[in-house]
Amino acid sequence: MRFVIGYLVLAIATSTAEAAEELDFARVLKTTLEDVILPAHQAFAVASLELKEPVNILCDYPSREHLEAVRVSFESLVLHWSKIEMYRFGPALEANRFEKLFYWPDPRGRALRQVQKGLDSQDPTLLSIETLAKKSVAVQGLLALEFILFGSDSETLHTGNAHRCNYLRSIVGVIAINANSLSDSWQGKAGYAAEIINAGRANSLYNSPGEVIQELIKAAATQLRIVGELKIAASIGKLPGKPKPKRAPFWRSDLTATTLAVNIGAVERLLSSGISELVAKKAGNAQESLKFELSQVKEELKTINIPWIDVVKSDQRRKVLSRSNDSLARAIQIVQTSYFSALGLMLGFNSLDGD
Amino acid sequence: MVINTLNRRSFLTAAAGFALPFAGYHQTHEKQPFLFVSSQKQADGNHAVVAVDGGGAIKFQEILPGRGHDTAISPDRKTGIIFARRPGRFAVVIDLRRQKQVFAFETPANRHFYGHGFFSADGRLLFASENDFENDLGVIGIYSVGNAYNRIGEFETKGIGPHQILLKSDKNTIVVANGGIATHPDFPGQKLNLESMSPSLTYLNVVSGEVIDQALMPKSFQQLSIRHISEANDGSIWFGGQYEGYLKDKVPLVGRHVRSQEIEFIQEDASVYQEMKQYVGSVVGSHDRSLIATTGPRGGLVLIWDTVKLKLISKRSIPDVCGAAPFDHDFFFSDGCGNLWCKDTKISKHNNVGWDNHLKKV
Repeated sequence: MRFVIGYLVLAIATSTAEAAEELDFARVLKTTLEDVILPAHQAFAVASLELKEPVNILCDYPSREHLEAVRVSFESLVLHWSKIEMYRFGPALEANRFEKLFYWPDPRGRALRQVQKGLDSQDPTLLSIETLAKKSVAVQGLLALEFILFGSDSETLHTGNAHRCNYLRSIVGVIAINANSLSDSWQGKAGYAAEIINAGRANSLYNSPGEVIQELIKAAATQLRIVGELKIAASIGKLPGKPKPKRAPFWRSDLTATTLAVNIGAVERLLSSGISELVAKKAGNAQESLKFELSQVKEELKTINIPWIDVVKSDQRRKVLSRSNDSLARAIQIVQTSYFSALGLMLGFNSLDGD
Repeated sequence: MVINTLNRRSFLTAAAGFALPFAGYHQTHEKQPFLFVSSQKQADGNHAVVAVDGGGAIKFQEILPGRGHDTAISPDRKTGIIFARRPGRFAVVIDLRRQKQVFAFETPANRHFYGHGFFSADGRLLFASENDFENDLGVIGIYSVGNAYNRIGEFETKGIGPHQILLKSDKNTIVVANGGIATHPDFPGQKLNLESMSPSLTYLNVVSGEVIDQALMPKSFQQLSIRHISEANDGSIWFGGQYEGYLKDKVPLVGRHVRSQEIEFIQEDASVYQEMKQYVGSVVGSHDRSLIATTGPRGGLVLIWDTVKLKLISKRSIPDVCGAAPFDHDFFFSDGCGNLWCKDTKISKHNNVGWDNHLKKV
């Protein structure tokens, strides 16, 4: 599906290099929105709707096979989420959508505690979309859904556990609402994409298309940092022999390594839609170096074929993960320095990293 | 515990040549008898605490073990304490007369600094905003100045994420800007409770730590984190917020609080707040506290407010501005591009460095 934004005016006749650069930014921004960001959000929204039917079948006709079908659809949903996890600005921040969909990190295990408590007490407010949507964000997102499907006692879903399955129905409904409103917020005449493509006009959210490109590159760097520092390093732990695998998301469904690779792939996809091409004109090595570092990490993640909990317990695997983390650190450095400077974007020390 | 890595001291004798003072300014502002202190990111990636004179020339600097944030100045103006930016744990003690680092200390392992603090009126105690991150509690660490900055206790701030704290002019009341955002050092950069944050201003008795008053941010602006505060000459507390919600939301960013009343926002054209891009980086009063400066690095704007008329009286454009300090019924400013500004005039440019968030007048 191709998404077209009809608000871009490229006919700004000027001969200055600066203006030409802004035209390049505007062109790349349009391509990035149409080819990457909007379709990725739409695909996540569709995947959320596609989960409803297998869930209904499972709840109406519990069986091991039907539970497996739901788990397969869950995996698809999570992988689509991992492609848009990096867009933690704009519509993701509206009405706490990001936290509602992905309540992580959760250092005190709030989600597990609340979900477990709700299941144990047969909490009736978990069972309708209306009441669940008003509850804590910790019990209505993807990680709560993962616990229902893969956490302790999840096998009771195929033997018939009405309360758990009805919670499953309602949480899938809530996720679908949030996923679709997230996608809708990006699209349409008044959508965020239309808004930011007009960057620089009176009252617009950004002063120029270059400023939006800067936001996107910052999002890419942040995603790489989250994969490296928060998901990998936090799992390995600071001390040898004391791994903390449960700090990474999606370990219950054994999707951790896969989602990390998808996170990285999504960053590559974002940058390859035109941003890297602009960078290559001025700093060809930067693009190649970034490609090299990220491919190293993806290759290493691909070799993981045991559960994440066992991965971080293995000394050999820990070494590999540490190496991946080093590659990610270099990749972040390339994005944060070479990409910004090659594109002439000002990296405001205080504005980008205040407190 | 003293941090060994702090021994690397470097007086930049070449620094005067490094700075490029603006000639017109120096004709009238040559030997200022005071200093401004700020943390700075340097060209080689190091962070330093740097003191400049009123002409913008560097007088001395000390390399820090990490990124610094704000400085507490002792009542006798002989000592400056530069605190680590969160989630750092170091504090460096600077002898401002001898112009060098004389000591350093750390928070306990289960706390980290938030980057702000102040001395008690008699200079014997140092108070610092800190995070009890395993329990999601804001605290104020209390350190004994005369006893090698030994930590002698703490007060709870009755909120999450205390950031700037100050001692009111009555010398008896601590005011805490509880930003409301939970963080944990194991998850750097992650805000863990944006959906449930509850910013507040809390008033504590400086001797007992007892809560005297607390004002909660109205529910409609629950995601406006109160980070920086300053006392106006009528005793009201002015604050600047950092909004964690949707970029399209129209949010007032500057407000004030009078004890026992509700928080009120300073009414201003919505476009002014919009230009600030939902972010105030520091809030500083003039010497007589009749003016308050709020800096907006994201918007590249300084807004100066009359605290009596409750009106905006000046709006200045300074890209990436954040640091502010009182000067001559106006302000001194620093920006992330290495520039220092006196009022609305750039007075010096320091190449390849970024002045960090806060500036303090000694």
